[in-house]
Amino acid sequence: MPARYGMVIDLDRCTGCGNCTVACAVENNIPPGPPGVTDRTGITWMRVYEADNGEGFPETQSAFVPVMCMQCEEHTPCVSVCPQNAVEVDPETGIVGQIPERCLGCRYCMAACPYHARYFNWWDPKWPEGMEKTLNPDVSPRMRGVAEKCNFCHGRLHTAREKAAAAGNAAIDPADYVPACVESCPTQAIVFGDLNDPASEVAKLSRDERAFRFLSRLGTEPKVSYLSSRAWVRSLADRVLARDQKEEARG
Amino acid sequence: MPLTRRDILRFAGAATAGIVFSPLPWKMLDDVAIWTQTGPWIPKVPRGPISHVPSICSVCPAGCPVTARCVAGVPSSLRAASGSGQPLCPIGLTGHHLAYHPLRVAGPCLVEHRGEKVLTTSLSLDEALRRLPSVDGDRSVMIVDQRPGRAISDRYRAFVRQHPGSFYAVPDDDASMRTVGYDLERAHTILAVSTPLLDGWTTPARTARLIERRSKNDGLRILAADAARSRTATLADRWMPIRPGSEAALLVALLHLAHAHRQPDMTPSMRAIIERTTPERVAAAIGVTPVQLRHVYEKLTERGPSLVVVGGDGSNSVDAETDRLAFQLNRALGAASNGAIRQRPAIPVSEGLRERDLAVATPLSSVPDASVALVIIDGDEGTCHLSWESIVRTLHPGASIVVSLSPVLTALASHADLIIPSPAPFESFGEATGDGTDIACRYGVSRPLHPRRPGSVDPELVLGHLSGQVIEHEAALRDKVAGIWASRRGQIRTPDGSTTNLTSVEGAGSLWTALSEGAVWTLEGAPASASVRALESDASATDRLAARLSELAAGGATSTIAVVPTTWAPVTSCSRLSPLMTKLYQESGLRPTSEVAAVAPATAHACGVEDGAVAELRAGEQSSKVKVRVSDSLAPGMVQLSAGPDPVGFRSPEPPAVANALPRGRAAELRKS
Amino acid sequence: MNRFRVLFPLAGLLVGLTAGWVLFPALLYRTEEQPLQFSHAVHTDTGGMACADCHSFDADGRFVGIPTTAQCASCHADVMGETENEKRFVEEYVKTNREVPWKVYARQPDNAYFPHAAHVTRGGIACERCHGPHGTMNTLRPYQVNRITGYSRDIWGSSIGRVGMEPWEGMKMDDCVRCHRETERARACLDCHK
Repeated sequence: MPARYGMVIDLDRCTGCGNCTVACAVENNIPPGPPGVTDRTGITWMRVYEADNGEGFPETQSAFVPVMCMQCEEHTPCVSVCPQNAVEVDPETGIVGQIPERCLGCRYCMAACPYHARYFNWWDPKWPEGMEKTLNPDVSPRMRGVAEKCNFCHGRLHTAREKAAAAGNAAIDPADYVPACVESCPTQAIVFGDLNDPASEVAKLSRDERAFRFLSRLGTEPKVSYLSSRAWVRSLADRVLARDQKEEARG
Repeated sequence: MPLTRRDILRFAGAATAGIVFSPLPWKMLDDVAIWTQTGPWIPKVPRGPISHVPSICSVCPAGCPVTARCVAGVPSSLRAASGSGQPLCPIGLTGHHLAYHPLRVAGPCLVEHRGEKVLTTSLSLDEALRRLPSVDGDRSVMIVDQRPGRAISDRYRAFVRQHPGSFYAVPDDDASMRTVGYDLERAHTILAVSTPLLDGWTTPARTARLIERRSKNDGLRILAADAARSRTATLADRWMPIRPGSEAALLVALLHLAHAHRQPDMTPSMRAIIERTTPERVAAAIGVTPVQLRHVYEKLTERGPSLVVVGGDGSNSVDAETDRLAFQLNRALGAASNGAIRQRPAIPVSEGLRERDLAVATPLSSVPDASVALVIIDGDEGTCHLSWESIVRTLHPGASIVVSLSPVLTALASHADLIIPSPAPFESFGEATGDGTDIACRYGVSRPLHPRRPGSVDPELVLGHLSGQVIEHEAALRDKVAGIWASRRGQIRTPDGSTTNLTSVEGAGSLWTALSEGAVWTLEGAPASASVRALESDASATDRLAARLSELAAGGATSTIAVVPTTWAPVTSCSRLSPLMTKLYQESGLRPTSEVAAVAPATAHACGVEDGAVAELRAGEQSSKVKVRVSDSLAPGMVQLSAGPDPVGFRSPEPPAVANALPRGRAAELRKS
Repeated sequence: MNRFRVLFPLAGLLVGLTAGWVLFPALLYRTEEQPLQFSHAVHTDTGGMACADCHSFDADGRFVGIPTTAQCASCHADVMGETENEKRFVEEYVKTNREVPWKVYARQPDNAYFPHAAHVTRGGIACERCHGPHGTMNTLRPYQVNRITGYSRDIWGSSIGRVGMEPWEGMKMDDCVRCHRETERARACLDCHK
């Protein structure tokens, strides 16, 4: 049976430390932002938003919400709008793949994504002199003018498959395939695994009574779920965090 | 037969047709398409054999175990050593980038300030060393060590001891932080007073353990008393907003409730202060109600062991007096007897040196004015909150020279006269001397991962030039390790999590081998005895405290607003951050940059500024341009600023953020500019 | 007279075809010599070694590719034979602990991902299927690099028109896809791209 990789993120454990964002950028060769970069032009495959309960001082309560590509299973919005066939859902893994070499840079997918989880390369990828020696050999840097997004650290899936193949196995050892954000989270707030494996922790947690998914009413069947025991946090499920923040920034 | 125009056209047309029937156009299309994807402007990824090297992170003193994934011998990522159960922080995850920082100093150089610009003129090592004055009876030296406890620290102390009138200075918070550690694991109730307890105050592993315990509902309760709505205030079970600068008053009021004035070893003046500071008298000055104060005290006594933690964030948040009060409050809550606070042991000194032959550390603020001719600043890359003013006042008015050993151009280094850069993190053997909040002291060695950049100079060489006794960097570290081995105390913890008692390690050589392969030596402290000398108040401190309390009580409602710095603690042990840190600041807004001044809507209205506007923030002599962010989750009457190195400034050596230099609660004005 | 006139278009066609088929490939590729000469034949025949003895996998199943100087030095710490190239290798690389900057004929671009383990270990495909008689050759042939893309000529194949190629020639995506289609292994782009 093909895998359906997914994640569950416990918002009651997230401290907003930013490890996931940084580990992701290191793993996936995302360049540092050039001068003048903002939250609208920057690239963070994994972005942590601060959401609050809407009350003013001193009743405000906050939660930190890591948001990345939700790997929508059905009617995947970025796939259906792409004029270039540069996005596809891998039937073997359920991972939504973005192919930068095909991308035309029209940014339809960015407009279509309900989670604002897609990012555009407004600049050529540039590292300070010498720092390109520290790039990850398993991920190729993207060029200016293409969209990109989280692919559950596909480079690590390659490595895990290679290890399995060398041992003569068809299936990977789940312990060998852990995305960078999951690995780096100090509070183990992110759990990753195969949703099709009923025994996996991720499958169990995604059925937990504290679990919810963002904008599930759209019917895109995202494969990233969240956990919280706070009712106001669960009520965020129908909000678009990124849009909220941008509207607030614009006033 | 003349050649006609038609003939030429026929020739050209046929040639074109010929080319179309050749691979040329089609292959060109293909190749040009490939060129756009792989052109020289897209960096090529490194290729080569991949190795996994166990080490520790020596970017900050905490020394978390890491595994470096190296490609062709260059680290491409640092990961928490699997099995260690000790996660990293964003600074550690990018520690291998610091060697390639755009502000890296290539070699010894002279520094000149021309207006806003910093100019460097490189010179040879010999020339640089020749510029150092010899240290003798008339000319004294001050060595500012921002990473005390290292092998070189012992050598500095020995040198200073041999030269009377010289100083071995450490940042003020280091001097006060280095005696008592907190056993967070044991505590059931923790009150964090203006402390980023959950935001990097301690190691990621210990912070994670607190979060873990809380999510399992094991009864741990975290209370935050903070003027700012800091990250810790956001994450705590309860946030009690207090007035900026009222931390000491809060602690004295809690001491009153704990009947600390009845303790026999209290000095009479201190007893008097505590006795008269009833919750009713100071509640208003703290910005809370007496009921709230009693409630906090009840929570602290309800389920012990309880801990009160203050300061330690490196942003000048609390002074030594507040720190002493916290110790006394912890003692009154029984933390000393139940082991929740412990006296952290010191790391044994290097072999061949004796503790009594080493100078005692002087807090930087206690070094007299105009007293030194040569200042050597070491470990500058490891902190960001020492102000240039705190150094410059110690300089002799005549000929004096300031030397920085920083591998990157930091705010402080850009003020120095001379930079003799030491190797960047992971370019030579590095050291970790332990998290200053822990009950245990540690010592770990990180091994070189990058090829070392020519031009960097080991600090041992600079000291050797002054003292006449040169020792190799690695030899100095081996001496330190031998000194630790000779103590026969403590244990080593290997990266896979297993522990061995030091007594069963065969010799200093095997200890060195273990440490250079990622093991860490630890020694747990004994319960803090009832009288930790360094934390006992003296008479003048008590007077200062009394004065501050009455000042605070008299303050009432003022027309100014208070500056409240908040910080993400790990960045204060790093004066330059990886360029990738734009992800957390500019690109996601998860952390505000130091230009952002957050205020409540009422305060913004009162100051006549709007959200997003550029305004001028003036505090005393200092003034700086800030971007106003209006947030209704903040208390009115204050402006919340982010302290720490500015990730905006990774391309140019800018002065540290305005918040770094300001004490908590400093009055300020915010004006439209 | 008309007969003479018809020569112009014919000459044009000839010039166009020559430019496209002969001149263009000659200009497109730059020939570079390898830093050292190396005989695979000596190692495989006389030495009796297999490909995998030097071109091995690491503990994680990753193909290491060309062996490092350290690996070669496990036999060639000192000069064993009489060739000038071996002597140079020992003097210039082994003793100075440098890596030889070999030019890799089969080097794929950064965005392509080719797991040797899946093809060789699990798939049982012989090395010769893609690398041809490389392992039995006595010299390293000149390395030709595409001036526009920087790719090795082996990726496209020796024939500019891609006609009459040997079965092992050509390492373009089309060549991969053809085999993957036949064996119904083509699934997602990210299977082979990174």
